Amino acid sequence: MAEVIFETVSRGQHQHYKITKFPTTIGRAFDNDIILSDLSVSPHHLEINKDEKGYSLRNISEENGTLLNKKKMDHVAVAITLPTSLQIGDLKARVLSQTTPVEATRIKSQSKGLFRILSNPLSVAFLFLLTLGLIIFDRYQSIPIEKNLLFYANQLLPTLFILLGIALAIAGVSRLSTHRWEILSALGIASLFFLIPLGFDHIGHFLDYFFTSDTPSTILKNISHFLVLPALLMFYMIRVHLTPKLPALGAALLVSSPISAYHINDAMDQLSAYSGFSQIPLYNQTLSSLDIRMDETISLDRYFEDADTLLATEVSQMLEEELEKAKE
Amino acid sequence: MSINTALMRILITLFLFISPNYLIAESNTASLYAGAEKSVYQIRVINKETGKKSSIGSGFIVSKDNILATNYHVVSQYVNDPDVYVLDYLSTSGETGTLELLDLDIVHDLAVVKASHPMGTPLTIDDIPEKGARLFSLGNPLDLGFSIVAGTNNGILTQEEDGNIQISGSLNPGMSGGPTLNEAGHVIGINVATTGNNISFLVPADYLKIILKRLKANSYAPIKDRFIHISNQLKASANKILSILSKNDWGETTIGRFIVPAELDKSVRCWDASRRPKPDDLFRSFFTRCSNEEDIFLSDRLSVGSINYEYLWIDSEKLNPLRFYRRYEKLNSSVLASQAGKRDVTNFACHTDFTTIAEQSFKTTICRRDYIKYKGLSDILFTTALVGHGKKGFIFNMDITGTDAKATLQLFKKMLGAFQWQK
Repeated sequence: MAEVIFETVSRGQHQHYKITKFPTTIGRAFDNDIILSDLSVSPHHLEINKDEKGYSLRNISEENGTLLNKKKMDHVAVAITLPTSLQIGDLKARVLSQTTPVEATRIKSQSKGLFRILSNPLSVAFLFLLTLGLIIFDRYQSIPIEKNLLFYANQLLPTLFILLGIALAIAGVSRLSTHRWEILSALGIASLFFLIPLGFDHIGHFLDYFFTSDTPSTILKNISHFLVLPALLMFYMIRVHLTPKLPALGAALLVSSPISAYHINDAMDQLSAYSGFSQIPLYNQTLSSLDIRMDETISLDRYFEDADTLLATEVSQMLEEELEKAKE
Repeated sequence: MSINTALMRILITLFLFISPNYLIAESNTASLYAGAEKSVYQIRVINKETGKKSSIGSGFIVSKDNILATNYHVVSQYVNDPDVYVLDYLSTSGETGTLELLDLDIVHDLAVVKASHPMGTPLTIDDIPEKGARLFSLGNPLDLGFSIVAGTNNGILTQEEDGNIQISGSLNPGMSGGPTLNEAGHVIGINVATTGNNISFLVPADYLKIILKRLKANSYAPIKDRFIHISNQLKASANKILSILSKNDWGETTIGRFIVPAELDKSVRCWDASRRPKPDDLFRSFFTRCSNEEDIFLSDRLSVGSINYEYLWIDSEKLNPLRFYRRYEKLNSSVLASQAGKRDVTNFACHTDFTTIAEQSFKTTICRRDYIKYKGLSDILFTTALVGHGKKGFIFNMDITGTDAKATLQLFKKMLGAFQWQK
């Protein structure tokens, strides 16, 4: 005889009950065949029956009742086909045939690809130390004054605290939801959170000088402001919490939204400052000791010729726009 | 007690000693006052809406009985916003009436206005007397009524291109536009500015003569488009100054490894603005800043004609190139100290490229913006930074406001041609 599976979903957890005897009663009371301990479920809530025509459901709850395909049931038995979705009180449930295919096995992610770096103690330690090292190096480069090591250690402390704080927060959430301390991966993610923007800064600067343009650093800056944190969080949730991609993306965007909002505010300010009138001449001010660039050095004669014609055209265009505006 | 008596005695002696001279000056001034009083007026810019005065100055009758001369800066609000303001006069006896702009000289801060009816006897214009001559400045200091200030001619200011006369005497704000007379009672200059320390400046009356001659030839018809008129004057002045600058012998000054032009003109002064070294510095830097320290007044918040340039050298033995360039890059920014707003000028357009100057590679930028109302007038900003030397840096910034773009670029090019690299 064909058997039926009764499935409930609560907080993402699936429970399955095999039904072999008909009628089967479902409810919170202990005399039911299937006992659901959720408080929104009535002591005697639902009955599943079977006759020659097929399976049928009967709601016997007087309290929160049952939704069948999102419609409220009364106390009359209703024939169903498999699979069927229900809501019993707050609980989501399905009635499935036992031949329903199950999802493919998920290979344990820790052992795969990029995540190997974030789960291996040695590589995480390397990442962490690399981040600290680069931050110190960056501070050292930007201070052209003799300072002792203690000074740089002092400079590092705030970043170190924030980094460890983030790692702890991530690991804490993991502990609560998966009952595992994923401290290594969390530390790796927190390190990357500092390492990537710093790396982007340097790459952006190099490219700015190379192209004599502020565009590369602007693009990279926006990436590190808006994409790095959500991407890291999403990656972490998929790999450690085994969250499906879409919910992981949603959660990552939600968690990083305060920081994104801050940067959006900043970006809007800048946009409005640069779109209107500005006293400040905007030109590429980067200088690089490597002096690697696309533009070759040209003679002063040629430069002045170029500048004269280019600027005259550009300015006369702006003047025309101003005069148009004045006419309106 | 004894100290007080002693002091009193000294004071009395002093008074007795100077009083004869003082009395002679007084009587002379009094006769001048009587002669000139009826020819000097207070000139006021009045807001049409509130009917209250927004700025005051002085003016005097010259050339014809209804023609008054004053400073441009006294009437500038009216010139720039004739829809908002009216111009009127107030005589020493309290009569008022409206005035109309006839002509102006923006460069020398002069304006000529016309009243609707005869106002009195025109003052005559005379040559500048010799150094040390006694002069009498007339006007309306601080809105307190007609007043006369005695001073001494200290000769034509050679530091400035437009050659203002410097006198020792205290002009006050409301006296702007009033005449300064010689002992014969003839106008030799127009009160224009004061430094406050008993040093004041006059515009030589010769420049007023030029406007009056022009007006007479046009039978005193007012100028048609004041902004085009002003633009042309500014452009002519800029071109004149630029051509003088480029013909001058600039001299040389050394900064780091470079020999560069020093003062472009007598009107340009250079100052050392190097940062004071700190004992734990790992680099050296030197900074020379030059400026013509003057400008042409256009309106309360806008003036043009400034020429500024600066040389900056930085080098280091102890810093690695990466670390050196972090510092060097921070110094590489250039802005224009100008109050010009969005109704005055366009945004800057900039062009950056790598160029050869004195056989070295430089990252060079020119930015230009144009004035909206003053056609053909630009602000030009030039900046260039030495590249390709790991532990040496050199920056040259220069900006000129209210100038002719082409002539300015020519001057920059000529200056850069004079740069020399010492091996």
